[in-house]
Amino acid sequence: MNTKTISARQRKIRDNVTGYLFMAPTVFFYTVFTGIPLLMTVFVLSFSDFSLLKPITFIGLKNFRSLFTDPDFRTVMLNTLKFVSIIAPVHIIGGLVLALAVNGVKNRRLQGVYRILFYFPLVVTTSAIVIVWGYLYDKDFGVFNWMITTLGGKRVNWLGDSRWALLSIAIFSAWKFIGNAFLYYYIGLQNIPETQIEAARIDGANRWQCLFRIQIPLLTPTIFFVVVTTLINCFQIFDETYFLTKGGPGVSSQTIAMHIYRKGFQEYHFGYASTLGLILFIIVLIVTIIMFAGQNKWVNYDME
Amino acid sequence: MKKKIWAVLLGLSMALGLTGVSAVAAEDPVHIRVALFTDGADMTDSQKQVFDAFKEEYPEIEPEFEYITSDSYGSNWNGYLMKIQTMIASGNEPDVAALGLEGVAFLAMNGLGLPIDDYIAAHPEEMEAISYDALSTDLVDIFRVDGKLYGVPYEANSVVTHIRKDIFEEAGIALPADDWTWDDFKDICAQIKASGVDAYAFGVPQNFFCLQALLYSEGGAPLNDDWTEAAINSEACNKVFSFLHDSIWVDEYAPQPSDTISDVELIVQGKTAMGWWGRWVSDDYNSSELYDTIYVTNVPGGAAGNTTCAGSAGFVVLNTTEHPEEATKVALWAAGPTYSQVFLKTGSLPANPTWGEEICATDGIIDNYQIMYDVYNNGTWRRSQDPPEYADLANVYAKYMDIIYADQEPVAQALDEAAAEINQIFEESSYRTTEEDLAVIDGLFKN
Amino acid sequence: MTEKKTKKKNSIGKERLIQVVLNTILIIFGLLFLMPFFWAFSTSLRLPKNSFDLPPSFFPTDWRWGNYAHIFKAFDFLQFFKNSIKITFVIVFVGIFFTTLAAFAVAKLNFIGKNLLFFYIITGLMIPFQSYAIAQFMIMNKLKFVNSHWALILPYLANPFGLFLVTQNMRSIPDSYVEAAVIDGCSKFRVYWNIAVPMCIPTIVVTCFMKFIEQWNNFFAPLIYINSTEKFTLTMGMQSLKGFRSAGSLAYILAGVMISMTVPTLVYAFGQNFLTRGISLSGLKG
Repeated sequence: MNTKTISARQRKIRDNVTGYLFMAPTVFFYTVFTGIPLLMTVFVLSFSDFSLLKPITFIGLKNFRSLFTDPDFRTVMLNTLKFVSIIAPVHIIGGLVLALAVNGVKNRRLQGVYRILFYFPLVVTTSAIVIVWGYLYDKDFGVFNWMITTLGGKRVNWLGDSRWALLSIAIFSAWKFIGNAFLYYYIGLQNIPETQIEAARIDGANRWQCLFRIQIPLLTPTIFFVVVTTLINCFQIFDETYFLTKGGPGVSSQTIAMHIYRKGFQEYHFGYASTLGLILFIIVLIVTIIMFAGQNKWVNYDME
Repeated sequence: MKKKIWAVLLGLSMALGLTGVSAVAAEDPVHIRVALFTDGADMTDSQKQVFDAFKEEYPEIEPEFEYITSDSYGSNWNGYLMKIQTMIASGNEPDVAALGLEGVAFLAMNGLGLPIDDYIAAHPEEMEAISYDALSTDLVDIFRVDGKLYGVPYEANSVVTHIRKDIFEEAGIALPADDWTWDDFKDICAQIKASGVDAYAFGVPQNFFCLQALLYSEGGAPLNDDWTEAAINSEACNKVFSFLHDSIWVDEYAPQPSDTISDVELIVQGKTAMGWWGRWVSDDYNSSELYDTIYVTNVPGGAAGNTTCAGSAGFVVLNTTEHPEEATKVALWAAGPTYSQVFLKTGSLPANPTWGEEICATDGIIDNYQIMYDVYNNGTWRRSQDPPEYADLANVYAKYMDIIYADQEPVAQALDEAAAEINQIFEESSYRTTEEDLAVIDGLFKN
Repeated sequence: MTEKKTKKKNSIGKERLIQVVLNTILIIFGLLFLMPFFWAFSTSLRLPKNSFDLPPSFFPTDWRWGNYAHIFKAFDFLQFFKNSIKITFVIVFVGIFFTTLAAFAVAKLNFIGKNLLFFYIITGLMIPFQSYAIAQFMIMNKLKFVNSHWALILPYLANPFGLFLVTQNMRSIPDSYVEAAVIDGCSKFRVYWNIAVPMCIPTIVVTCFMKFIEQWNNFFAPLIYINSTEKFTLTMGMQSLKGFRSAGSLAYILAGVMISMTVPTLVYAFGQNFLTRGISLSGLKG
């Protein structure tokens, strides 16, 4: 009796140890390079003044007051919101439309070709292909404007005009990254049993009714996943703006992620840049919480 | 051979006389790490040439070059200095770093540089070998902070007008005289436009260093003479910026600059006929095999005559080095002829005209190159204004150049905002809190 | 009867029309998608000084392969390639080992705090890197990993998204398999290695593939961490290729762009078959 309980307890301890050992590498690297830095940012660095050459000194809320005197902070926040509100819908809705279209193709081989094709831009090196896009967009020597002028239109100042810069970046972003949302939707659609749609068709439902009563409701978990990841990614957009406009003209396409880079790694204000990082983190946190809190209202996990 | 024997003898005598450690040192050369700013091009051959030459003279020292490339956001040198800082902060610092004029005050005021005055006084023969006396004293003084010298310039770029001779010829326009004025310049622009050649008259400067040359020629400057306040919204500056703005948006003399196609790329491709740079763009001319096509002359004369912007770069010894003596030797040697002949065959203008003129004469790329040195001989130049807050300023300049070039705001409004931001930077600066700091900034070389 | 037949015939005709229209639109769209590649490829073969000439070409008119050779000569392109390949593959292969280990623990082992640990790692999905980049930089600086490839490898060995995918898939393995193996005397590691991993290969390949894409494109981390040119990754190399020396030689730059796409394209060719299968199995479906 006694020995039995000990061995049960021992086994339990051993099970625990085994579990921790399996988790250990992931937890270790995650903690050292993400967990601790985040805690440092939230609790220490955001309230400090320091740089590579200056030790960390606590300065209270001074960095937060600087947010209001920073001439670019407001613009940068607005830009970030604008980016999210332009780019996120393009990915979320555009990806869905594309997936529905490809899913509607009857020829399996063609379907495969489209699937490979629309995902392909995602694969190629961003910093390389963006060079190509920079030239395509050029006002005087670019291909897009050559096409437009050949067709009798007026040159568009794609990257050199703050009214166009955001949109141009959004077009590039859609081209480059829409494959991601597209693929998730496509897989989701493929996994909807054919029989369910067929049954509805026999009951006399037309194409649109099928779409809105069967396919989309069944797809809501995927849509939810795409919406959450797209929003999070859009808030930290860096590469596209950095490569295409360097945040210009002026700061009209500078995002918060770029601003962090500029303040921290260009102007050596590490403390203030940490505060900006904290702001970015809080925004993403709030958005995620809202998304998850609202998911019961529209995400349908039962029909699987 | 002789040297080798000598070294062995020296080592032997030391080993006998003192300890064995020195003998080991004679066999095992002192490694000196030198950080250099590059654009990523392959330097293997040049590096070997320089090393071989150096080791012939000093077999006991082994220089190691480390090429640092930074992004071009704001300014290249800006990112480069950031990288040097990270190396220092992580205890992986080089012994010597090439540094442009903008970084000198920053480095010295952060206590990172090692003054070389004593070494210079003790080694007149080395100074003679690098023709120290032939250097413009003003260019040297850029490297003097708080009365102490931190480096000897090896390159010094003066901004001049670059002209594509072939486009001028095609348009039937004569090359301008060296003492031309802004009115002459505008005439030429109008002629180029009217001639129907497939090129813009000029490209507006994208680099603030180059733009400063235009401000100086009109008697303006981004900061006041003490570098304590912004002056970028002065009437003279407004005149220059308005001219550049109108050239893009009204007269169509120049294309709107973009991040994709640089002003240099435009002239290389023959899409613009003129522009303002130093000699450093000869690298680009060379790699595009553009020989005997470019003619240079002064910046057009304005209210202050043909005054341009210039600055120097030098090798600075970091005070964290374990071998100050050897590191200084390397830093000074690099300001000498061999380094220039190899690394500046094309590229920046050698600071020392003793061999610089010869280098420019043989490359066959830039016609009328003497004008770049005349600027120093005639004193028609002002240094780029770089207080220790240069990194913040560089981003302000970049932002408002962009805004003006993109026609986002009226010129006067943009310049007022720029001035306000600059003044705010000075106000919040950590380099202007004590009297001593202010005295150091006050004492920086200004012309 | 006949009425019904014609109705059916009509609907077949309508269906065919829809297919034709759909395919036409998708093909046009697809060609637009590929246009940048066509342009880049044909311009990369042009005479460098003609690279800005309009009209642009979308099919090569010139075949100057010398532009490709030039890139390797003027630039240490091969080194950038090697660095990128080294970093990416270490992350992918070491990372997937750690990730599957953790996923197995979450899916098939019982221990205190399991769900908490899982949740802790998964939160990584919603933490933007830039928000803690400065702090991470300070840590790397203390560890002397700045200007070292370690700074680009170590943080990515933990893979929250991969953990999520693989865990979902491993949960679908019946517990009875695991129990049977344990009764047979297999160690937990043997169960993981011999049963769980082989059963999740498609998801594992997908996780590797996505990690590969993410890291091959990583620009921000090398931008802040790498100083020396010889340690550059391809993403950095491409930007310096564009930004500095090669002004005016668009053809050369585009040759570099085309070369840079070879490795990811090969990986994609290999991985794309697994993509749909792997993601479905992970339960990330409708």
